[in-house]
Order: sequence, then structure tokens, then C-alpha cells
Amino acid sequence: MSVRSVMVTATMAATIGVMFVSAAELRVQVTESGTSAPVNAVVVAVGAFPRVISGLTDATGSVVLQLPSLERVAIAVRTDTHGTTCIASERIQGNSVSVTMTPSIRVYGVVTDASGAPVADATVSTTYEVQPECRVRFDVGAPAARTNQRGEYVVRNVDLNRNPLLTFQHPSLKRVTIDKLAFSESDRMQRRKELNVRLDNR
Amino acid sequence: MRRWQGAKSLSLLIFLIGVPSAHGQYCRATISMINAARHVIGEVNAECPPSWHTATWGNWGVSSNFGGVSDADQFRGWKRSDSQGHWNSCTRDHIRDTDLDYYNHDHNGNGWGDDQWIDTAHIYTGAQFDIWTDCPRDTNYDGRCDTGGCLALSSGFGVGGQFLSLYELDWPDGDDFITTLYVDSGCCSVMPTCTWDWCDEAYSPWYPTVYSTNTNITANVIMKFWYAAFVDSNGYCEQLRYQDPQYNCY
Repeated sequence: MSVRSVMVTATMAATIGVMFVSAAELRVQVTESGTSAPVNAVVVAVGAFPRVISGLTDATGSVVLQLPSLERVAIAVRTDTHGTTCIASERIQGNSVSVTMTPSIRVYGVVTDASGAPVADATVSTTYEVQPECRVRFDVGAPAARTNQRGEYVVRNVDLNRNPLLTFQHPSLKRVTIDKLAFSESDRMQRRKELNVRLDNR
Repeated sequence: MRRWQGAKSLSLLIFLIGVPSAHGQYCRATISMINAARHVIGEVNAECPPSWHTATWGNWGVSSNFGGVSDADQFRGWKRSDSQGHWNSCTRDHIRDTDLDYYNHDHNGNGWGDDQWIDTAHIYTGAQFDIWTDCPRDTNYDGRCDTGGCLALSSGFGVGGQFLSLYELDWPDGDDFITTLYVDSGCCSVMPTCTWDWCDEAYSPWYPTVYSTNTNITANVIMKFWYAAFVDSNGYCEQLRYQDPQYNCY
């Protein structure tokens, strides 16, 4: 085989490769930062608008999605254990994209009033700074967590990397907002934090 | 006439270089996913004593395509407890066909409770999407925008591959997995009524869950499309209005 025919073959292969990519198979690989371990059961939602296509990563931390096109796609991933991450479409290399995620933490505690009595039916909501690259946003308009009759609450999947704001509200009491300064490296390592909150009278 | 031809040329140039779609204009759509007709038929052994947890009754949460578990009414049960609706989460310890304390529905039709059911509709998650779009444009020069903006959604908007993983929620430790429900593959699309800057509320049809991984639980799911609104974040479409009459349609 001449050098020229090799080049032609290589060019054809590359062209076919490009054509294959444009057939829009997208592989997403998710690993944990620090350990590089694959992250299982990550929801990968791709806005191939006007359709949103989603799938779950397997034990190897990967998922392959069939898309109409790789152009103008918006990718966001979420898990119950590692928070949420958005991926700009420019990060797609060929037909794959790699994502690293940091473990989130579970925040729990008891909400009391000024007398120390438990506050039932207080809402606990978590908000984050807006990520400009996010074109798919999760948990929008979802019902907020509420305390039970013992004033107990749990907020799952708090992502300390995204500057969370936890807001505790009850109609007859003053609102309390907790920011990232309330959390330590120890909380991050243990993946949980007990946070008891007092809501004073208005 | 010359001016009109000039406008056409500019439109062609803009089309060729693909500029109108790359300057931060999008249609922002907000949806909620809702479940109803929740039916727990099979065995559930998530909250069985001996345990230090509260026995039997439990609030269930949903992890799904667009959101995580929360202590809300994401998969509301029929037994009112606290301010939430709970499920009998340990059916192993409660014999069916005896009373209506632990089962509220007569699946067998023999006059006794033998499963759990409730029909009310509840939002379990929601999401927001910024859908790239071209600047609103008047292609037939009648003075009205007939393409671009949120009009792109008039032909439909949909989400696919919907699932709901159910958990019995515990405080303060980890939650108990119940099952994962997969929704009919038709779920869920809408055909909203749109103008260049807005799409109205719309609902998909209801779809049943078709498979449950661990125990026999079913529900129906619907997508509520709240609205969509056009955003020209960099003011690019506004600039185009002064450069090309085709874009000066609003």
C-alpha cells in the first residue's frame, strides 16, 4: 500500500469518524474527585432541544446517550450523593465528555423556637449561586423539605462546592439563613453535619 | 424595493454566518413532574421493627431525572401523619384482608383492605431549561415575528426516559430504598401555544409506570409545562432590530 493510499484511507477513516460523531452518540464518564472512583447512578440529562434526553451511569461511571445531534446540547448531571454539575458543550471532546464530582453532605438537626420547643412544619430550602453555563437546572420549583412534629429535618445532597444557602422559614417566626461558613472540612470529610437552628419570634 | 433587497441580503449574510443563535438568546422553559394514582400493591419491608426508627409508617421521597429526595409530599401516602401523607412501610407485619388500619384499599373486592392507594396529584420535582433559539424574525414582511424566539417550541417540547426511585425517609441517617419505577416511554411531551416571547401553560397526557424493580408499586405521571419566556441576555436581538427590518417585528 502506497503512502498516498494510506493517507487517503486515514482521511476517509477520519471523515467516517466525524460522520459517526455527528450521528450523535455521546458518552459521559463520571468520576469522583480525589479518588477518581467511578460514580454510579448519576443522572445525565442532555438538553438536545426541543427534547431532553436522560440516562443513568452504570458501575463504571459511564453512560452512552443517543442524541439527534451534538450541536447545541446542554449537559447537566446530578446524583443523590455528589450534587449537581453543569457541563458546557465546548467540553465535549469527540463524542465523549468526562466529569468529576465531589461528594455532597447530609445536613440534619432540630429546629426550635426561642423557648426551645420544636418547630413543626418549618420549611428548609437550599439555594445555590447561579452557574452561567447551566442550561438545564434541576430541582426547580420542587417542594421544600419540612420539619416534622419533633422539629427534625434532613437536607440531603448539600453541595459545599457551590456555596449553598440553607434557609429555615416558618410563617410566625424570623427566618434564618445559613451559608457555607457554617461548614468545616471535617463536615465535608464525614459527609454529614448536625445543625440545630433556633427561630426567634418576629 | 432596493431597501427591501438590502435587508434580504443582510438576513442572508446573518443566516450564513450563523450569528443570531450565538449571542445569548434563549427561551427559558419551566416544567414540573407530577405523580398521582399511587398504588402500593406488593410487599414493602423498609420500616420493620426491631429498630430504633419509628415503626411502620413512613414518608416516601422521590429521586428522579430532574431532582432529588426531599421531606415533602413527593410520593404522598394515604395515612395522614404530621402534616404529610405516610405509607405503611412494613407490610410484612400486617396481615391483609383484616381491617382498614394498615391497608386502605380493597384490591380483591372482598370488603377488606388489602393494599394501599391514593389518587391526589403532587409535584415531585421540577426543572428549568434554557433552549437556544434564533432571534425573532418576520420572514414574510407582514410586520409580525413568525419564526425564532419561543416560537421554536410551538412544534413541541418533551422529556424522555423518566424514572422515580422511591425512598422511605429517615432521620438522621440514610434512607431506605423501596423501588424504582419506570414510566411509559411515551412520557412526556407538550405542544404549547407560543408567541415569539412567550409560551402558555400546557400539560402532557398522563402516563402509567410500566415497571417496578423491587416490588409491585404503580403510579401515573404527567408533565406540567408552566411557561416559557424569551430572554435576549446580551441584547443582540435588540441590536438586530435596528439593522434589519426582518428582525424589527416586536
